[in-house]
Amino acid sequence: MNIKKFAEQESKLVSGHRSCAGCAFPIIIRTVMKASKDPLVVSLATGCLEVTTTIHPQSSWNVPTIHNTFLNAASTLSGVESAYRALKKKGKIKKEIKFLAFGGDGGCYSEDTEIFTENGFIPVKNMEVGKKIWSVNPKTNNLELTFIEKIFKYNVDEKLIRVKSKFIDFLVTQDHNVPIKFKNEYKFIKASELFQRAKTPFTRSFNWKGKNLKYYKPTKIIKKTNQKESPKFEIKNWLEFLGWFISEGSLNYSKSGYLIRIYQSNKKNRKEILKLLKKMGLSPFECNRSVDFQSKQIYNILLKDCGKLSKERRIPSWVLELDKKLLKHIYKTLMKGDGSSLIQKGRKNPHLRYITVSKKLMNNFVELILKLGYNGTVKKRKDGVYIIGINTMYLNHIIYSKRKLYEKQGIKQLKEEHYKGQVYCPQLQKNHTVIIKRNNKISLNGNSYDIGLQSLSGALERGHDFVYVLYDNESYCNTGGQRSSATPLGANTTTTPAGKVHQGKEEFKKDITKIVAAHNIPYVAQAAVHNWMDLYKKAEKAFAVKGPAFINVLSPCQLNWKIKPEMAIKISKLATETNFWPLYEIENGVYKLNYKPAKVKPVEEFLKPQGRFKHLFKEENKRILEKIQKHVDSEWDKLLKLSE
Amino acid sequence: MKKLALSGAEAVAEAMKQCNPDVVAEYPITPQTPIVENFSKFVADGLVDTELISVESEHSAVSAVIGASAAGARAMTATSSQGLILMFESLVVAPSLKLPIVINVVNRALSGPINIHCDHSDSMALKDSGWIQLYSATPQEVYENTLLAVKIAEDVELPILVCQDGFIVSHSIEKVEILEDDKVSKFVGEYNPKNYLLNVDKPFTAGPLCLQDSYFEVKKEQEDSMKKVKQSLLKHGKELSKLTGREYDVIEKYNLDNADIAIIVLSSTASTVKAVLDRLGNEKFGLLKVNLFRPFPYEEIKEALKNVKHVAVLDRSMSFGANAPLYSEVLSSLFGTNKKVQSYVFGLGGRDIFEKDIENVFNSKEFGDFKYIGVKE
Amino acid sequence: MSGTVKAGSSKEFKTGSWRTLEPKYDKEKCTNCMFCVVFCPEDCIKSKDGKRLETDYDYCKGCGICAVECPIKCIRMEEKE
Repeated sequence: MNIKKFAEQESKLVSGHRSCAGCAFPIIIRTVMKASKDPLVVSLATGCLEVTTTIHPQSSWNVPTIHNTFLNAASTLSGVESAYRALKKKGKIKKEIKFLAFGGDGGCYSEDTEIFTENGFIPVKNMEVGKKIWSVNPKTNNLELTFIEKIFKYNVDEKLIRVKSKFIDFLVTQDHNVPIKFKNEYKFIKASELFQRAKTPFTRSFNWKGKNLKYYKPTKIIKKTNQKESPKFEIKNWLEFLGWFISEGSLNYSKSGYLIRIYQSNKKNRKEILKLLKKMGLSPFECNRSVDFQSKQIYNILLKDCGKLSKERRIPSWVLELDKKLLKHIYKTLMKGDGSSLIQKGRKNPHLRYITVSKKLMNNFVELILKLGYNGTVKKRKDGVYIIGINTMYLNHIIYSKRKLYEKQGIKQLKEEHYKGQVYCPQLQKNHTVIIKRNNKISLNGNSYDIGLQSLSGALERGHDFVYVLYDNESYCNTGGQRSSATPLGANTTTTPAGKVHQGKEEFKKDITKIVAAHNIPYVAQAAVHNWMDLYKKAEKAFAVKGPAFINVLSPCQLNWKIKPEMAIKISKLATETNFWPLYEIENGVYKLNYKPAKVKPVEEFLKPQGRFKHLFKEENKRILEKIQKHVDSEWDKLLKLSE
Repeated sequence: MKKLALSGAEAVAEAMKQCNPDVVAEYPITPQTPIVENFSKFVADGLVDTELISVESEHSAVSAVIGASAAGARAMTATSSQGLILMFESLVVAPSLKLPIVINVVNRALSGPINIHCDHSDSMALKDSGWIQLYSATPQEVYENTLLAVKIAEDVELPILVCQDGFIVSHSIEKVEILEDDKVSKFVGEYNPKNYLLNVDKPFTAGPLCLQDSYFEVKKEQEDSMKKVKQSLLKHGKELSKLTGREYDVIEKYNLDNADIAIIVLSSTASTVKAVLDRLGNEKFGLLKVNLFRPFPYEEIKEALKNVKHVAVLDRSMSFGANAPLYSEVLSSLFGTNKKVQSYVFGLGGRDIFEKDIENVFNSKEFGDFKYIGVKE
Repeated sequence: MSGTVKAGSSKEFKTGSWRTLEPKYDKEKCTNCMFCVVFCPEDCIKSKDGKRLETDYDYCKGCGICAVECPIKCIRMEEKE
């Protein structure tokens, strides 16, 4: 955005409003509204803004606007925003609409998508609130479990975005958040924006930090065992053994005892298995096509942890919690068992596959390879056999979205597709990414987020998706300039006049920005009318956030601050240059200072041009000026520390 | 149709569930709380599509439903006593914006001193607010009044209070005939307002500043809408009759044909009077139950009482320093006639009224200043 | 709908009658920096194709912000004719 584009953009607040000549808030309102790409609905609190812009029979607002009463802009807007969600669910409203409150004084998948939960892939329509789901931390790229907080489902009959390639397939709504790798983090962009990007990097490889163990010690000693104490196995050996057993093993109980048999026609592998079992302190014997040994205890462990029948086979859950380094061992032998490696003509790298009839094992195996940093595809054959294709290469995949480019290549990777039916979207407790499978391909995807002081606090706590802009004119200006909690120390107002005994307001200004920040909402900022670019960018960020966002904007009032009408912008600039009104933002709890004056001016320079502080320049009130300077300095220091 | 054993509060929650409102704001206050609790359970079980906003005060509850209704959604909430009064500051804005909001009021005495039991001081404090007021005597009535309220409000474009007696009706269980879900859906239909905030292509500003030159006309428009309420109630009442077999009118006449003496009362006390009349079997005694309190059915009451000589009006609230509200309106109805009208105030703060008291009223020969029923001397 | 007013209708109210001083700018000196457009509270200085247009005197209240914010001081506040 540059000033020429900004200046030429049409304003949604039109001329003809009755604000005082030289009033700052129309500039603020105009700037904030220009920052929204989507249509707006505005809620106003009673105050200068409302009475000057909505005098019957006219209104200066070119957007739907509601004014209720003095203290409820936020709670009224909560109702409007909830109505939006309710009507959107019904399909009655289709547009993306943003909600904005001004006071003074917050993608979905098609039905055929599956999502990766704690218990494997399930169809999106079977998602349940409270169930655990696999997601990827966008900052660390770690695989993490989180749980579903809410599920949204809508009936749609519109064009969705289809992203398809050899390795990725998803069909999502236009406003769906898609995670793409950007520098070393994930950036979320709307699915519809994919068309505008030259190259879109999709990641298919994730980090996993699991537990480390040295030994496997079966803790539950089965009764009637001959052994007196629990054996312990080196973890590497046990994991390798498990891999063999899960793939190729069988359990046989007969009069002769508890037999564990590992089938293997390959002689070399049989030797390897023999060596392994001997290392583990067991007494195996080699047969024609297998390696057998007897152990009641191990028989019972395997029966319980891995299952007897092939269809029931699974990897024990404690194994899947182990670190990548250890998981490699079980992967190695699983692959030696039921895995196959085909080298196709003309290709350098082998085509890796794992085959199983067990649905549980299929899901476990996918979890295993994701944790190893690989990715894959899953196909189910007509006879019920699962074929997992393992990909250890092509883990960062670039999609070219300039249509001309890929159409030329003959690969349709990105297009709009008409879809009529239900779409589902889980809202997660954190991370906001999910692992999905569609048409056998597994990929990472984004998901939906979800979004007076009492009225404001309630709306913030409930997380409604709206932006609250406070135009701070530091008193009850509309009714003639009475003192409010926003009035700074020492200011002369009609209810804290400078008299013989009291010299203006005796309390410091309430730090509303920090009170709002204490609600832990995703975006809080302090801005001022003179720095329109900073305010514009902050408004953009506020609109982009899903959930509540708050901007406190300094709005000089020429009438009640007693300055010349043309001074609004200059006074605002002085407020920032004296550190009286710092410009900063708090994004997800992280403080960031936006402006540090090269040479800080003394706060007197901000106070002197204002008639409301005239009395402070008398000799006997020097101490109040010192108090104000001290307060400004200490608040600035606090802010510096917070933004380190 | 099925019969469920429901209390008045549960019956309201059931009616709300079947109406499937788009937005409901909830905040608890005794004795209304079971309404929002039961409804919240329906939301939690996915039985409704409602967006439930758990607001932080009743003021925010009414503000939120005003925002939701202006946005184009069907919006409801419920409250009592102090909650209703806390809503007052914002509540008066709703009729000026022509918003068909339905609020279920479980009547409870206003504070000073604090009391959680039934009287009508809460909804009576709002009689001049511009909201329609319907009173219900039983859980069956409050179930059906809630359904009617949605239709009337959306028809005349005014908000409505549906009242029931706190604890007496809200917490008493009765066999209630519940209509089938699809029949209710068909009866209440969809809310499709012409002008709504979420229609961003046709923006407008709701709630402007109206100074001396325009405020008066907005209020006149409100009053014009009030004049349409009676007809709307009768019209939609006829439609509902087809489904339930019961009649719906602004008043109910009971044993009034040959009566010399009539008691006029709102809400559940009317049921007590009916029980007394059935027991005494005296055709000279009758009951006129008032269902619609705002707008007040002056003509209908005058017509119903044309052969009655003596009228006793029982008010469950007071207007300090003046005539009690129902009595005051009945007097206006009967202006010009030479009937004797006696004002009684009873049941404040939930003080019970017994069949014996009703009998005494019928048998009383004195007429004069208003009398208290049941107060300790 | 009563209690509501038409969107954007305040353009019918010409606040230009309020002013006592009015801004006059020197077209030759103007560098089209857009500051006056951005800071006019009445939105009565518009721009097109990167150039500022004439002040809309129907709405100008004569506050003087444009004159003060102009970096090359090519706007003067003069007595209204």
